[in-house]
Amino acid sequence: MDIKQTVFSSIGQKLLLATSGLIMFLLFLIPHMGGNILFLFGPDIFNSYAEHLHQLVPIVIGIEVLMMVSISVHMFMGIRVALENRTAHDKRLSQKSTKERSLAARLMPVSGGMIFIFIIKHLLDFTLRAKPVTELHGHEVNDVYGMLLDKFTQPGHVIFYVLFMVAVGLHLSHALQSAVQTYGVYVPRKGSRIKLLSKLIAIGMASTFAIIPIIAFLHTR
Amino acid sequence: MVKLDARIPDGPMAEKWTNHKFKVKLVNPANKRKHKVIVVGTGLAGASAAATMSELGYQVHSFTYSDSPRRAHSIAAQGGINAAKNYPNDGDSIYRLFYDTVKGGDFRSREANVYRLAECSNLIIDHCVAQGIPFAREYGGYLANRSFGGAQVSRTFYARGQTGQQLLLGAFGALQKEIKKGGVKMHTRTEVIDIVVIDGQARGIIARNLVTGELTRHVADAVVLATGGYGNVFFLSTNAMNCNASAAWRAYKKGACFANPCYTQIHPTCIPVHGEYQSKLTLMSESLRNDGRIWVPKQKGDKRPANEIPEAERDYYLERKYPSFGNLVPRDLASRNAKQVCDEGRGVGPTGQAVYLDFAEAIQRLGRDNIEAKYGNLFEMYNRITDEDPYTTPMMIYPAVHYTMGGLWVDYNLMTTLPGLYAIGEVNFSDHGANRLGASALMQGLADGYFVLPNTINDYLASSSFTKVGTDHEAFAESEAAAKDKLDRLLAVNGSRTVDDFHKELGSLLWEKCGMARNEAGLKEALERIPQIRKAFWENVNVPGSADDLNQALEKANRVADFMEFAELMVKDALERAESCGGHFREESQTEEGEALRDDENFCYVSAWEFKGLDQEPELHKEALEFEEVHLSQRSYK
Amino acid sequence: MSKKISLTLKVWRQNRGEEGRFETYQAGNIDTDASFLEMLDVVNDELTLSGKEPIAFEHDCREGICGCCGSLVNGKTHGSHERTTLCQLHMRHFKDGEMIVIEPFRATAFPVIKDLIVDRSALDRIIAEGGYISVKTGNAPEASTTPVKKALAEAAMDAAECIGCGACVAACPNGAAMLFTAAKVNQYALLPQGHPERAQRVKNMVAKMDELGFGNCSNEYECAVACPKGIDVKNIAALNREFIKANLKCEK
Repeated sequence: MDIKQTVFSSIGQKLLLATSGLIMFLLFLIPHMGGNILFLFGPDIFNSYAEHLHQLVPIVIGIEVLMMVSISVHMFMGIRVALENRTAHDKRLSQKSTKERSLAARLMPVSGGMIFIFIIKHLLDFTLRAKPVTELHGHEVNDVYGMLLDKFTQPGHVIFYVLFMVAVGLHLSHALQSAVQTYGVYVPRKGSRIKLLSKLIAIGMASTFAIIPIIAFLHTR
Repeated sequence: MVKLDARIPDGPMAEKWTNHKFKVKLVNPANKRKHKVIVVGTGLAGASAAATMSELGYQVHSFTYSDSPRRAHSIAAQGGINAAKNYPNDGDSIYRLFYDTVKGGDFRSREANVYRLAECSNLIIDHCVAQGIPFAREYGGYLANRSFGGAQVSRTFYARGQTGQQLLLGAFGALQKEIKKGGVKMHTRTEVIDIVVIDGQARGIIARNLVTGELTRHVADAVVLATGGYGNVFFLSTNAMNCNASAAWRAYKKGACFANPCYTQIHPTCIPVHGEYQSKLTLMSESLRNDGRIWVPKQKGDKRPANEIPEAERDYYLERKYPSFGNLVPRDLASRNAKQVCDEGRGVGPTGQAVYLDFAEAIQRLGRDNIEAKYGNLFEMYNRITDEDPYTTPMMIYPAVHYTMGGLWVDYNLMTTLPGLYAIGEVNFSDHGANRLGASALMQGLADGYFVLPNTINDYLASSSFTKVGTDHEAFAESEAAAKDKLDRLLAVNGSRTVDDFHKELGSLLWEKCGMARNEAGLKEALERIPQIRKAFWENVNVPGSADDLNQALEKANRVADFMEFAELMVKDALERAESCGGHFREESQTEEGEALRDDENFCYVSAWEFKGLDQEPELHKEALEFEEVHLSQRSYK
Repeated sequence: MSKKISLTLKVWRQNRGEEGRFETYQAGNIDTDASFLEMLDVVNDELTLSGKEPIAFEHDCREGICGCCGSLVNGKTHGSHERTTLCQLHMRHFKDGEMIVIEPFRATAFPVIKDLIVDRSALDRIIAEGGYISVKTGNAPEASTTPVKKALAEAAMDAAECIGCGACVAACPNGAAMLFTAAKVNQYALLPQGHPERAQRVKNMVAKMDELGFGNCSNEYECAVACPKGIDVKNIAALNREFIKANLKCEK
């Protein structure tokens, strides 16, 4: 069996899905959440964090490249798997009635698509635009804090961000446990701690991300 | 005119098989691939034979009516498989297994065949373990054994309650391996309709593609039937719905003798019939009789629920009649006595055709937990089917047809009286005599398929000459035309009764007159009634649909039409054998205490019936049985 | 005690080479002690005698072991009970007057042959790629040569209980055959006899599974609920491990 066949086999594709997903989760999502939490400590700390991040440009670029690759692989494989599964499944006509399949699992392609839309918007909102400038300890720095506050004065934005964080939560809650099983670690059907942990992490992360726009919104009232 | 020649090798019993393997002619490896062999059936015997012959280099064509070779009814065997490994160090040996099997068969089997079976038993276990069959193991990692009816040693290997399934999946895997390699061409959903004979040799088959209805011709140098038993002639049996005697019956009509068709095994512990709609019977492990007590009310027609019948008004008839064996008497005795009490009008349940198997006393003595640990899965199965809780109300059981010891007559090489036609597994008659012991059916199927046939078929292939024939030979055309004609006739009747309706009528007649107990008057009555039912069938059966399509009713009708003919031979054989032996109990031949009485003087032979034409009486040939090693003796279980 | 019930059946009817459709039948006077297939027998007898073609459905042992039977009953494979094949499902679990929808197992890899009968031969083709140990008759050493840890033998037996009915595929939202393939791969991965062919087995069987048009597992576990023999998803985890190991070793 050659490499290509392994990669594009059903298990190979899922291993790539799981791996690219976990890279994004570990190297991007978690640090990003850590950074976001600093928002709660006021403009100085948050802006200083952003400034420090700038000084780490080589690493950041490295991670950004890795992210681009991961997103591409993840999306490519995700779409492939979803399309193949649609073809393989002959639609039944009678109602399906077991409860085993979770809502999160059912909505994986939808939540995945939503996350992609969110990323585009998020980049447009914050990364790919000119940032206001402020002064910190005598230096001139980007006022990311102010930019954020500014953005979330509009309720529409807040609702959009919160809604899309629900998608992130749903996606993660199935993705984490599923990735573990795909790597060959047994995740039982019932009473699994891995499943529980997967849900807790998903809820925790989604709400931490969602709380920033809400607080920002309340802050400006 | 057939002459029976069993071709039993010379020499001491223990050396016959080894000598024979040396003496048979071999086919040179390069020539093997020039021989095509057809194997019909993919149960234990068929799958193992097809795989092994392909490994040897023959071109094998394998046929099954199922969608997959894994479905054959071998899969339903629960208990286990015997082998003379003597792992428990309890005095077992090949000789003892041989001895037990001959005795258990009530001295109506061929010693040389049985000895070979016992010899092969150990090889089977070796092979199956190597195949990765997950047999039960001890904590030390070594193979576990348990005991089984009819033996005083523990020699049964098992894989939970699914030994048959696991062994079949092993053989199925071997078959798939050979299919992949190209040695076996598999024909699924293809039913054999006729055997084609050219110049006195079996040279092929006519088969029907069950999806398209197309009749196809297949030519070969030898044909192996591994098509199982004829238990479904009774309609209700523990056999699978599709089990049938058609291939064997067509072989009989083409010149293969049918041996001992009256030998059927009736298993005592099955779930009783509960209604007209019933399609089959379910077996419950015999082990239940270890702790359950069998009883019926003393009063005729006592309709009170079991729990309201006081102890004094119950008849524990097995314990009463057989104080030393009690509820653990052999299968045939337990079955016959259940029938007797039901015939007296003391049967229980809605139909009156059941006896109680009561665990109340065992639960009191051992505790519910103990009983649950031992029989929990069986109680669950019973509950699932009957919706009754055997922990609180006694189970109801009744005997049911389960295995057929009779079958196509074969010589030591497993070849029938039709040259080039072999019969292996349950479809032949050879190893179990008049009664089969538990855990022996799997052993025989695999011995025949893995070890015997692949060694004996060469003798025929190497020593016979084969004229080159194609499927355009007139014998194929004739057989195909006859098959087509029969199917068309079945469809043309367009009567007012279903196939099952006739099958049930035939089955209940046989069950009454040729079931657990038989007598001359009843058998003669059955011989009169069967042709009438058959006539009515051909005049009034309703087979819907067409022959050019998947048509399950037509498949069934075609099989039942053969049962209608076969039943007559079965009853004839039962009438002819005026002794009682094993599963065949003739009421005229019993001891004063009502036990089966064998008549070795007059009936120590195999009955082999030869077909003489549709309107002619079949001719009976007798193969005398000689017992060199195991001496004839009467069984006693008092 | 048994009683009689009446039901309305909506049954999928389909002839070879034609589009299928649902047809409605009345099943009157059905004994609650009858099995689901016996209920279909009764309906078929009535259809036959009224000049209609009976419903084609696959069945054989009616003891829950051969793996022939299986349909979607009210959207569930083999009906409503866990660890129960359709032939072992009894009519007492249905209510008088109930409507029952019966359609064949649905999956692209299982084309419908007729009515409720589908072609599951793809499962056999997966097995042909290595769902066995390649031992020729006569090759085997003495059976007790290699001890096998009891727990491993038990776990292998758990996996080996698969009856090949295809319910896992029909229940899977992706029409995947992972549970089926996994059970066989894991049975031989657990036993020492299976080790020599281990890497090749998993690679070939997975490749064949993909080639035959089965979907990709998304770990939603519908298969394990549907399995009438209770085959667990731990086998799927094991299959994934086997696949990773086999490919990391780059064995041929």
